[in-house]
Amino acid sequence: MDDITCNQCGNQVPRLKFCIRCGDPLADELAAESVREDRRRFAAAPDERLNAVSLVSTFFPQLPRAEMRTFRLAFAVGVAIVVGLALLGFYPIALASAAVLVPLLFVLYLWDVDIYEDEPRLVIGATMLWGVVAGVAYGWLARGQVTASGFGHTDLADTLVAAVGMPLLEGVLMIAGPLVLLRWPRFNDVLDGATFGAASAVSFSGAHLIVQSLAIFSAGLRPAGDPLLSVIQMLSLGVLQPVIAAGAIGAFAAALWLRYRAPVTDRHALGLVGQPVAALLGAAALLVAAGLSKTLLMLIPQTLVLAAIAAVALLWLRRALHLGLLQESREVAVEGDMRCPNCGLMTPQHTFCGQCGISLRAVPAARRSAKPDSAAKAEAD
Amino acid sequence: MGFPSAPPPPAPTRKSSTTIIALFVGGMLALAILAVVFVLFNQPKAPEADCEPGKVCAPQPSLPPVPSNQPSPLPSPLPSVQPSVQPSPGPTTVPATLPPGASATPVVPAPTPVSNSPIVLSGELWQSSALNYSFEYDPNRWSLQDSTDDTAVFYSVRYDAQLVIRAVPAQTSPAELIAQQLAVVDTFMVGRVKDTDDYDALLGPSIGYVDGEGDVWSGVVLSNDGTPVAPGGVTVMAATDGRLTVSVLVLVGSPDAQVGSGTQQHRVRGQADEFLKSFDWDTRS
Repeated sequence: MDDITCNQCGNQVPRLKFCIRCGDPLADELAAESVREDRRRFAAAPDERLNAVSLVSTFFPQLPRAEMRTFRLAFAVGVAIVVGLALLGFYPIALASAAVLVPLLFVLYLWDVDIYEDEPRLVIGATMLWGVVAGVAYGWLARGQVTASGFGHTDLADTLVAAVGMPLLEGVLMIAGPLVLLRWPRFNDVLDGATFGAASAVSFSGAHLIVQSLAIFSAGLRPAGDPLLSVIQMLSLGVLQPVIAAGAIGAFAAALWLRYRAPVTDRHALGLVGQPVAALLGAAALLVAAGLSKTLLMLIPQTLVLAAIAAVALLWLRRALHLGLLQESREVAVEGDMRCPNCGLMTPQHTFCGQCGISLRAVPAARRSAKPDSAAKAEAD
Repeated sequence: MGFPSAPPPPAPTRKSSTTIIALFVGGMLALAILAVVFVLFNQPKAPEADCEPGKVCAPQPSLPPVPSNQPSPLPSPLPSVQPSVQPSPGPTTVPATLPPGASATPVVPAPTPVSNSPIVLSGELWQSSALNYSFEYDPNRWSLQDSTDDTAVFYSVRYDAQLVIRAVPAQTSPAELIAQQLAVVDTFMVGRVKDTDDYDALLGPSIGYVDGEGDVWSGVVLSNDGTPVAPGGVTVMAATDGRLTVSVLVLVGSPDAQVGSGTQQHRVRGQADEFLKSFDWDTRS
């Protein structure tokens, strides 16, 4: 099999439909080998652009394509449940459902892909448990420290505490759990860091929302309130705010993993995205921007600003994952053939499937390490 | 040629789509049911009516009944303290017809007496020197948090409540002042709607014995970090005497929480009565 130059990564790779080093489709290279086109595809989901705002493929990068559709459907059903409950006036129930929407999807994702089936499952469970415990503690603290709004002189110190101090404290608590896992060399992928960070963040968000809002659950099933505004608020609480937290903390954790778990030669290859200090500042900026908008803006403009911040957080996490995956691919030599866990076809064993373009690092370790059987070899031949 | 139009079929998944969706929806429903149970277990009890419907309702006697063979208790003596201000005489009128032989004597109206006694205070006096209005409050019940010439903000010492009194020149109508105050409420309350519960109705709103207008609202109160923290009740009223327009707003967290035989909102509104009754529209007179 002769090689072709991949326009995306510049490497000589086998003539397959996708580059085995970066996952870029090779269709254009095959049609006109002299044409170089910069098509930026997301490494964990080659059918999506890198700069697409896609929640499922960014949060759940290890899902095969078919299961991404399932999770998109589940997410849509969850949002519909929350919106329906809010429209019917069941505010406390809608609030509880919004609090568990993204964390529950995350639990299902981790259970479905069995990312760490060869590792103690306690690892990811403990990460989410840390998020819950820290979220409960933060919720109780916030009930005492963050005063209810109202009339009267607005104190600058109170505003700074609510808009800056508390979001930063949230960030510290959310990353503290995953940081413990950074010491363990066996969690050595950028994806590991992003998964730990996002898992901790979404469970933290859900837990602290429920604890801080406990008084709502003592007001009856249908307390008075405008249902349309409740719907907007639930979408903000149940989707946008967990996405911001998970995006910021996940991207920061990914940068930490890249810096401290990647080969020394790769540590500066990602530019600012891969620098822990810059990532720390970026995560803090996202959390503080969200805190300022929640503190200073009314519901509708606040929700619009939070949506923009959530989009930035998602894109940042997506780019960190993508660059991390590409970076790691350069360290791997081609080691024979394997059956792609995503499409089921044979492909040279490297970072991306040459047949469907999925990142082979973005599938569970057990599936990734599957040895080809004789039938598969025959098919490949 | 772009992305392959017919991607290869995906590998069999570990769990079917139906299983994933069913587990997710089941999980959401299970948590929703848990929340329903929790809410039903913790929902406030309906307030008890002071009187049974259809029966004569009178306050219970505070003393035990007196046996009929005992003499009736004597009326309590009047206070020995003489009032410093004599009651002003009633209007003097000339009879329409005079008795025969009587001559009409011109009646000179008595001058209105002027009191030189200090004001009797039942609590702390709050006074606006710029707009010349005042009211009293009990510092054991209310804590003054913020005060300007036109606005005073109090926090309830005992309950999760806030009371705001604001005065503006009478060019602003009561309805406009209420709208301004509610606009402030909307910065920290989501989903504000009118409270149509008869139990919470505002009956005969008046400030300093000047009739006004007002209403009761409900919504969800946000903390200053934007998280919903409690249901909220807002009672707002406003009145004008032609010189000033004044609003009184009572904000209560968890308004339906039971306190004694009533609700927290009723209890706080009861405590706010002292502001309304002691309100002096013009301290110069």
